[in-house]
Formats: sequence, structure tokens, C-alpha cells
Amino acid sequence: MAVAAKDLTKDYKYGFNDGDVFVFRAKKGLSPEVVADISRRKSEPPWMLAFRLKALEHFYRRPMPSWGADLTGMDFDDIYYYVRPAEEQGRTWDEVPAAIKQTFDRLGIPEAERKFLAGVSAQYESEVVYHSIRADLEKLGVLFSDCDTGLREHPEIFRRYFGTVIPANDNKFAALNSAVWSGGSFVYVPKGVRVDIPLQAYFRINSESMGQFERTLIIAEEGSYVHYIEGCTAPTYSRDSLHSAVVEIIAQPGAHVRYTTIQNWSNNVYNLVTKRAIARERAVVEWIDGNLGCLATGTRVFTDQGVKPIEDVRPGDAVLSLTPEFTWTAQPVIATKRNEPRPTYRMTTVDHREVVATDNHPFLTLRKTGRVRHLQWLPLGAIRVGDEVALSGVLPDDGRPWELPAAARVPRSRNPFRAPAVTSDELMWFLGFYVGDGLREASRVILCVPEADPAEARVRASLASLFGIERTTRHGVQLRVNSAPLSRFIEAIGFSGGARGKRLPEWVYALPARQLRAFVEGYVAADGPVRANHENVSVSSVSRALLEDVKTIAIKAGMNPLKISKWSRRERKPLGVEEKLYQHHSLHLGEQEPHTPVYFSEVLGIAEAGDQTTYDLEVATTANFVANGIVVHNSKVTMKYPSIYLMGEGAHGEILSVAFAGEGQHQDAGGKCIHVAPNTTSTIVSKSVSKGTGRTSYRGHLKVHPKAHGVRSTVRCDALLLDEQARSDTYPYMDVEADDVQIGHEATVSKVGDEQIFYCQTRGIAEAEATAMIVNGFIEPFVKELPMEYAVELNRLIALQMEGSVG
Amino acid sequence: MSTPPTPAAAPDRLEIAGLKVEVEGKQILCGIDLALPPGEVHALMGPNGSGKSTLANTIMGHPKYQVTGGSIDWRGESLLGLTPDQRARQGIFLSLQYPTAIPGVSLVNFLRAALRGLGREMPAREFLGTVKQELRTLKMDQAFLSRYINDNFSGGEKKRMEILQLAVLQPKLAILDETDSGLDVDALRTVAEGVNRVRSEDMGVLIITHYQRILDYVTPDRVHVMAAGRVIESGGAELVARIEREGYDSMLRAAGLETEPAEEEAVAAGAPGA
Repeated sequence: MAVAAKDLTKDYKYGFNDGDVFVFRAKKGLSPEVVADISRRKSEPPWMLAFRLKALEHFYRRPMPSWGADLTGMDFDDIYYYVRPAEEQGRTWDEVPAAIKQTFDRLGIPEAERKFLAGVSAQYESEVVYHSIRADLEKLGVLFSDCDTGLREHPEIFRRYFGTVIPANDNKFAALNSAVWSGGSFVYVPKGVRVDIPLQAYFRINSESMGQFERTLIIAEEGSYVHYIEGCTAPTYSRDSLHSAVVEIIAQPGAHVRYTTIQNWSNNVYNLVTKRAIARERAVVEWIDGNLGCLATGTRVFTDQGVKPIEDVRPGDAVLSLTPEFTWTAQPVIATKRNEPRPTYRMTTVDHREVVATDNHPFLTLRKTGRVRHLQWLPLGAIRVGDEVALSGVLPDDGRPWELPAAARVPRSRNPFRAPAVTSDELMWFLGFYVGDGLREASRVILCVPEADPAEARVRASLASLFGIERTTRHGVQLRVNSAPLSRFIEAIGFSGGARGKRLPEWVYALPARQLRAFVEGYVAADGPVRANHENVSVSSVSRALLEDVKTIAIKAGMNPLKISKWSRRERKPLGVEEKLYQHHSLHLGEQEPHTPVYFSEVLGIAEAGDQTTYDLEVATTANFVANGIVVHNSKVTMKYPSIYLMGEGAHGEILSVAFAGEGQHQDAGGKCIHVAPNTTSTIVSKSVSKGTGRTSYRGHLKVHPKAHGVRSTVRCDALLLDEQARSDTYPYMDVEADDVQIGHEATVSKVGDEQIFYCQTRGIAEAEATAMIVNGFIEPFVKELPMEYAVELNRLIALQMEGSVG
Repeated sequence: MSTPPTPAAAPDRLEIAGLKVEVEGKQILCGIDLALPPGEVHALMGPNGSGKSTLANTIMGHPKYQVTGGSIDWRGESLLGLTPDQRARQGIFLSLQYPTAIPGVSLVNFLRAALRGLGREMPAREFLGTVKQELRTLKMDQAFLSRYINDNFSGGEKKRMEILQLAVLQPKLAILDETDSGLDVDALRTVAEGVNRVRSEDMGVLIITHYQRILDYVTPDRVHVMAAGRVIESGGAELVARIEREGYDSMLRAAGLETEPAEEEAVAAGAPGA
């Protein structure tokens, strides 16, 4: 067979690329035809085709209608949904094509085979190319194959469990996976059978823009035991590659399933995985795991010092953050993170607040299921139109009047002029009026206010009380103030821009709510007619940016700003052919203002917003912040939280996650245990290592349902810091609705001490190696659960991290 | 004697001259002169706070100790500017007063990393044999092989572990910083026997101690007494007896230093076993 062996010199750690090797590739993009084609090529039974098509419908229709538009865009249409790498599935190593072998060679797979592995089911592209099971396992009745084979050869078992833990309509990406899934592993362990050697599959993403949609289904019958290991080593590409897997585990009564993931996704791999396990009576499920979203540049973050663009927020700044009791608190920012441009989406609410974020950025969401409303943090990708998201309502008024710079207040003219020393409601009203309807020349300020306007008297009163200016002149609708000092004053405090360039100076954002409100009222007085048949008022400007500024301060002041709409008209000049486009924007202000700290507004739409540089903040304790008036969680991981549903009495769940954060990296790890049945137990252990500016965070969610009495759970977070700068934070969320529950939480932070390093050095061990050794020691409890070659690879990764060459 | 010196190599001689050391801006060593010829065993004694441990750590190159003057030469070349692991590769070994625990790193892995660092990897079988033999000699359980280094070890176990590493790594100069402190009689004898054994292999040894107990088992070629950051007296083994008899007071007075009140350690030195 023709095997392309192209450029192997592009060697970048694990980022080697063996060149595309495939015999069949589906058309790019997604459609019922592509789905049907995939199903036909796999010779699937009709029910699976029906399942796929229904899932595709879910993907199109239910999650968010606006996705229809996205599918015509580059993203989802730019992906091959099915690539089959070689004509035949390899039975022994010898049959595996050379280029593929080469890839596996570098990952240690052949050694794995020669040694003690039970079976290797290594996924190269979408299909399993190599796969073997040791005879003794077969004798025990253990089924271990790629998922397609599982469907073909064991249709009854497959059909009974497939899609039962994670239904196709669970979330957008689960729906996508359900429609186009290919490969992955199928494991069935019969009643009472112990599989003593771990079953492994090695997944890789190889073709550029290739989506991998593996489907893993693990069924452990009563009293059985199995350990499944998934390892990922993705090469690096300039474009995002999508990985959206679904892993379903069913642990029947008394069964024990352990699932281990070792991840080394390169930064541009888009990892949206839904993993869930159900543990029946006395069953044990263990997840051993670790893993990475963000908000677009310009997103306005509400801090205790006013409102800032997210890119200007620095560690140490305090941002407004929501407590579990739904009150506001100022929490320090622990870390900030900048990401290279990646796909973003704009979410708009019925109340016209909007934010641009990556699809894994979580928002506080209220979702109705039947008559029940669930409050949860959901990643943007899982939010549907109709869900409600939390918006900031009444915010704490932490603003302070601004002391005006002395220079602005010194008159350099004989005209009578004085300026206030600090901002006041009156000054802000005046400035609001000026921004709405004023302009400035070198020696005068012109305010457009007809004599008959009810605001005219107040404008003149303000001029007198604020600046001691009594004399004005009138030219038609213009009220002219011939005062160079006033013009200079307005310029000096940052209101210098012309109509298009007008923006609010930064200091405005830090004012008390009353003054912000006075400003908006001044603007409205200048510019905001209450239109006939309209409940609300609006202000307009040719500058959309200015209106965005005004919207932000209105939110900060607890007002209810609505949408910003665009209005344009074309005009042909009387003489000549020139055509002129007039355009302005209006910001509408709702009459009904929020009166609670937080309120919920329906999601109106989610639309693609192109590739953008994004940022994220890590916020202490409460781990959320307010962006554009919308409550957002720190990003990351949420889609990757492995979760265990303890459904049967006496079931046990265990989650062990390990995270490394090298220079500039930010790693989130965590897990979720949901105790539904009584007398269930769980252990969540997180081990994190951070170096330099690296940060690690642990986020765990423990939920105990009201009837789950006698629950015992231990949450343990161990962090290892490699230097002074590094840091680690833990945020355990607990949601306990039952009595008689024992929950232990323990957190340790240790540092690689200078003394430890010195000790190793005195024995001849160099510093880098000493650090790697200490780190390896720290995660030893994790490593010793792994087969040798994984441990070796992990050690190599740690060594690379220590050299600073990864990340 | 067992390992012939590399021809043409400079003798394994440590030469310290006018050494001045600061720790966090505070002067600790005020001009140390000391020479340790190849294969000799020297004892460095002196009251607490005299700078003995500072000297030991400075020879090894601990980053906390700033050399502000003088020199440390080994095999005729300056050690200053070398990292601790580079010094270790030159054949210098420091048995720490308070060895640090490294959870998750077994003795076996630690020693293999050390041998690799020193460029002296051994075949696995030979290596394991050696370590097991040393454990037996030091009357330590074989379980220590897989125990995490110094993690939850008793004081005595840590000290014996240091001697075990000394024996396996076979340096040319061993500095034992209070390896004898905190040991019961049996442990002390075991440690001392260990020192005597390696001593017979052409290894220079600098024993730092503030009581003479260990010197009952290991007879030093020379004894130096430090106080206030200086060597105030040097002599033969007979100096040990004199210190035992008179304490440090007379020497301190002779050096023009104020005598300090007897410290607890000095009392402990007269305790059983001495």
C-alpha cells in the first residue's frame, strides 16, 4: 500500500508529524449525507444510522439554532469527520504500515506490545489500526475491541448500553460525537472476571484540522474488575484540532472500574470531552485524570477599582465576585492568562448583555428541565438558547469621587473660572450632558440645547454652581460658553475627543454609583428623547465604543441598559455624485432596573465571533468574576471534569487528578462526585505541580442528594511549588443536601526546598535532575499505578517541563 | 589504597586559606586556614555557633553561604564557583547534619541517580548487591531499599543512611557534619565503624563534632578547634583528651575570646557512652 513518509524532520518533542496516511477520507464538513456515508462505510445496522442522524438533529437544532450559521463557517465545515487510515485493520504488529509504526515506535508502543500488555488498541486518526487481545483474556470472555467492531460483533450488548450514560442530547458536543463517532474502545467484562493487566488504547490526533470523535463504552458486569488506560500525545499544528470524545462507563453491582488518562495535548488541540460513569450497588469507579477557555480582548471586567478591559487586569487586582450566597465580594486575581487567537463565540442575552468567549468558558446558568430549574456552571458550548445566565444586578457601590487634577483647575485667563476639587453628581450630570450634546473649541464650549428644552435651565445652573460661569450666549440651538479655561478643563480630565473619538476616561469607571447614574442622566437629558410608544429612553452617538462605555457604567450603577442599535441613512449631495453614509448608534435604557445582586436573563443567541486572542483570570476563593455584566467562571476544564454518579447503595467513586503547570501555563484539574444513593463513598485526590509563573487550580464538586444518608467523602489536594513565584489554589465546591454525611477536606502545599535540592546536589545530582526527581517523587502515588512505559513517558515529560522546554 | 589514584592527577588535598564567609550579610567565618592532606582524618571541634557547619556547607558550595574572601582549593584547583553537584563530581561528599526527606524517592532510585550524576553507573545486580551489603553492615533492614529517602526516618536511621551513601558513593573527601549527634551508643559505634572502613580506602575525612564521643572510635590524625569563625587551635589526637578534660574555656581564653556559659550539649557530652 502506498505510504506517505514525508517530512519527519519537523521534530518537536512529541510534536512529530508522520504525514497523512489514509485510504479514505470523508468530505470535509458535516451534513446528513456525510453522517450516512460514515455509517454506510462502516456497514452499521439501521438503528445506529438512525441514532447518528437523530444526534445530528440534536446538534443542529436543540443546542442552539445559531449553530446553523456556524456550520457554514470555517470551523465545523473545515473538519474531516471521518478518516480511515489504512485499508485493513492490523492484526499483528507486522501488518501495521511503516509510517504508522514509526509514530508508534516513538511513543513506545511496540515495546508495550513485546512486554506485558494485554492489548493495544491504538487509534491513529479515526480508525483503530492495530489491535490485539491476549488469548487468556479472550478465554475469560472479555471483549476488548474498537467501538466499531464492538457494534458489529456484539450488537446486543452494545445496543443495550450505548448512549445510556450520556444521551445524544446531553450537550452540544455529546450530540456531535454521537453523530460522527468513530473508533474508540469497547470493553465488556463478564460477571466476576478480573482483568489483572491494564487494557490500553493510544489515541493520537494526526491530520491537520482532523476531528477525533472516539466513543468509548466500558461495561463491567457484576463483581468484575478492569483498568483501562487512555494516553494522548498530539503533535503540534498551527490550527485548532478538535477532539470531542464521549466516554461512558457502567459499573454494575460490585464491579470495579479504573480509567486512567495521560494527556499531552498540544496547546492548539481543542479538547471537549464528556466523561461519565455510573456506579451501581457497591461498585467502585476510579478516574485518574488531569487538563484546559477564555474571554476575548476588550471584555470589561468589574473590579473594585472600576471597570477594566480584561487584558489590563493584573494579578493582585481585586475583582467583583459572586459568593455562593449570592452576594458580591471583592476577590484578588491570582493569575491571568493570555491565549493565542482561537475560535470564539458571542453570547447575547434577552437583556442585551453580551460577551465573547471560547466555548469552554463557563457561565452561571439556570436551566429548566421539566418543572425543575438547575443552577449550574455550564461551558458556553453546552449552553442552549433559552437557558438563563446570571447577570450582575445591584453591585456594591465601592466607587469614590475622583479628585480632579490641580492642573485642570488652574485658570489661565482673566475670565472668572473655578473648578470643583472632586467629582460630584452635578459635575457628572454636566459632563454627561456635554458628552451627549457638547463640543469643544479652543476658547469655548458649545452645548446644543434649545432655549425651550427643560434641561437648558439646569445646564446654566450647573455652569454657575460648578465653574462660576454666569455668562453664556445663544446662537439658535447653541448655548455658547466663551471660556477657554472650561474648554481646557474638559480636555484635561479626558473628555477631549471629537464625536467619533469620544470615549469615557478610565477614572469614570471608579466613581460611586450615584455619580455614574448622574452622568447617564445628563447624557439622556442632552440626547434621550422618550419616544412615542416606547417605554424606554435611549441615547445615541456616532461612536459605538462610547455607547459601550456608557452601557458599562450603567451596569455598574445598577441601571438596566439594553441593546445598542445601529441606524444609518444614505444621502446624495445636492450637487455632484458623492454619496454620504450617515450612521449612528443608540443605546436603549430599560426602565425596569434590577433590585437584586444577581438576576437571570435568557440566552437569545450564540454566534461565531471568529478567532480572537483571549484572556482568562484566576480569581481566589469564589473563582468567578463579572465580565460585561455577566457572571463568568474562571475558564477551563469544566468540560473535562470526569464525573461519577454513585447510583447504588455502597458504591465508591475515586478521582485522582494530576496537573503540571510550567512557565506561563495554567492548569485546572478536578472532578465531580454525585452521591445519589445512601452509604456511598468517594475520594477525590488532586496533585498539582507548578513552576515559575505556572499556576494550578483544583476545582472539585461534591454533591450529595437529599436521600443519600451515610455518605462519606474525602477530598485531598496536594500541591508542590517549585519556586517562590509558583502558586496553587484549591476550590472545593460542596453541595450537601443530606444529613449524616461525613466530608473531610485536606489540602497541603509543599515547596521544593533549597535544602532538598542541595541535598541531592551533594550526592552529585544536578539541579534540574534533582527537581525532576523530587517532582516524580511527589506524583509517585499516581505513577506507581501506571504500567512502566507510561511511567517512563511521564518522567520524560516532567524532565522536559523542568528544562522549561514544554509549554 | 584500593583505588589507585589516576596518574598525573593532583593529590586529593584540601587547602583552605583565609576563608571568609557571610550568611545573609552576617560574617560567620573570619579567615579560616586549614589543610587536609590525602587520606588523613581530621576532627573539627568547637562550641556551638563557632562556624563548623558553615565551613562544611561552604566547602560543599551551599548557595546560602557567601564567600567574601580567601580560597578553597581541592587537588590544587579552586572549588569556588562550582555548583555543589560539580564539587560532588570532584569527589567531595557532605554528610548533612539534618538530611532532608524526599517523599516518593526510594533509596534505590536516589542512589542510582547519584551514581549516574557522578558518572559511575553500575550494573543493576552489582548495585543492588552493594546496597544490600551496606544495609547489613549498618544493621539496617532491607526494607530501606524501597523506603522513601529519609521520609519518616528516625534521627539514627538518617545518620546511618548518610554513612550508607558515603560507602556506596566512595568519595575522596568526606565531610561528616555532626554525623554522631543524636545517636545511641550502638548506632554511634556502627557509624564509627563505617567511617573507619571507608577511611581505609584512601579517603580524606573531616569529622565535625562538638563532643569527642565519636573520636573514641575513630582516631583523628589531627584535631582543629574552631571558635568565633576562626581555627584557634590545631594539634594531634591528644587535643581531644584535653578538651574532654578542660572544655574549650582555656583555649578560648588563650585566643582572647570570651568564654560562654556551658551549653547543654557540653553537658550531654559527658553523658553515658562517652
